[in-house]
Formats: sequence, C-alpha cells, structure tokens
Amino acid sequence: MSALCTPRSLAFSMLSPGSAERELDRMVSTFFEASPFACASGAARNVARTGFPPINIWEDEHAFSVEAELPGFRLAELNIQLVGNELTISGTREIAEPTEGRVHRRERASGCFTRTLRLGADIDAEKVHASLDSGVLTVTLPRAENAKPRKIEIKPTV
Amino acid sequence: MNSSSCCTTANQACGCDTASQPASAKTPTYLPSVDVHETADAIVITADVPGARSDGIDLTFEDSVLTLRAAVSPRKHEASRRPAYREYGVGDYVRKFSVRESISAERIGARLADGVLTITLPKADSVRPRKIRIEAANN
Repeated sequence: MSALCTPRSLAFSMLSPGSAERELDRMVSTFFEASPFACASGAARNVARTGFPPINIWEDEHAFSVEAELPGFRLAELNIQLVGNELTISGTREIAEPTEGRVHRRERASGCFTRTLRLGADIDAEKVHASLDSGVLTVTLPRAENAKPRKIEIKPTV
Repeated sequence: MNSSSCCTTANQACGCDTASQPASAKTPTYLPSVDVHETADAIVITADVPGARSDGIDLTFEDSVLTLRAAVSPRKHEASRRPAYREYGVGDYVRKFSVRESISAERIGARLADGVLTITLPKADSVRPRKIRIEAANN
C-alpha cells in the first residue's frame, strides 16, 4: 500500500467499550483473531476495537458466511484473499472533497482498510465465493471435507 | 450565505448494538453514518445504508424535519446458518435531520447506489444567493 492511504476517519465506533464488547472479544479470541487496520500510513488511530469494516459471521456444518458492510464499494475495489484458513479483506474508499460550499458533518469513513480473520476450520479454497449486494459483502467459505463433522459409527462388539 | 445554517442531526435512533430503544420497539434501528454538505443551491446528505434497497427507503419532509427510514430485511443466510460472531446488528436505519434553511420540498431528490443514499435538498429561491446588478450612474 502507498501513501495514498490517509484514512480520514476509519473508526466506526459501532460498539462502545463495555462489558458486551469484552464478551465479544473473548469469543473472538477463541474463534479467530481479528487484527485492526494495517494501513501504510501507520498512524495508530484510536479506532474502535472492532476495526473497519465491522464483520458478522454465520456458520453451519458445511460453510461459513462472513459478512461485512461496505457501502459505496464495488467488488473490483476490494481485495479478498484466503491463505490457509486466514481470510483478508482489504480495499479503499475515496470520498471526494467538495470543491465548493461548506461541510457540516463528516461521519462516513474513507481511506484504506485491511482486516484479517482466522476461521476455526479448514476451508475448501476452490469453492470460496464472494458477492456484493447493496453495500453488503458476503464471502461464503465452504469447510474442507476433512473439517466437516462426521458421524462415527459405533459397532457393537460381538 | 447564511452562516451556521443547515442541518442539525437529531439522534433519535439508536446507533449501537446494545439497543437503548424503548421497550415498545420490536427490533432495534440503527443510525446511518452521514456526510452533510451545503452549496449555494442545495444541501446534500450522503448516508451509508448498506443492505437497504430503493423500495425500502422512506423519506419525509415535514415542519423542517427530514426523516430518513431505510428498511433492511434479514440476511438470507440468517435462516440456515447460526451466528458465530457479531460486530454489528442488522436492522432498519432511522435518522432525522432538522433543516433550518428554507428548502424547496417538492424538489427534494434522492438516489441510492451500492448502499449509499444521496439526498439533495434544493434551497428555496428566497434563500439562494442573488447577484445584484449595479447600474452605473451616468453623470
């Protein structure tokens, strides 16, 4: 990444520090590790501990659905990478500065972001797919065959 | 131009996960992040409403208050998969803006693209800056 990365306000403070969040953090550490931004500008921003974009995950025995809210992005502007069971989503949203008039409020995040998360099972990388609909990114990651639950037959001893 | 004009935002919806909503509300609603920009001719509100579709957006302008509601339906994988981790809640967006500048209400326009809603509130002619022509006196 380059010096283009000058996040204006990458903090999405969806969660205020509180017991609910600590609860989540504990869940995260057992499930995957989320790292906040790694923008090249490097300025350690006081971002919400969730980072940007906020992420939700669903799962069943076949697959994980990782979902992130990315309004204003196109799929081509996002970089989605899977290494092992580590999923990285990165991208840049530029918001043009108005050339005239007056800015009254500025809450929408712009700049670049990177989030990496480790999923709790092996993934069948060939079958991962991503879709972006109305600003919501969904990455579906099927579990690898060896990571799917298996019913163990118990044979009676004769 | 009228300084300190325009918008104040009334944070009447809840923007956090731990909903401090009145008990009567069935599902929590969320505050969309917005940018507000004013030019000589209009006030432009840009709101992030990921997950909303144009047929679910309801904009009303009454008594100088613009109310934005954007319906968000539950995700389709919510039915089949169980939640494993959650950083944000999914629900409708609600936000109100009180607009002090005179607005030409019938010309308010809105456009939704990729989960970003852009609302343009054109100023009434009476408050738009006017160039006054100075006539030269012949003496």
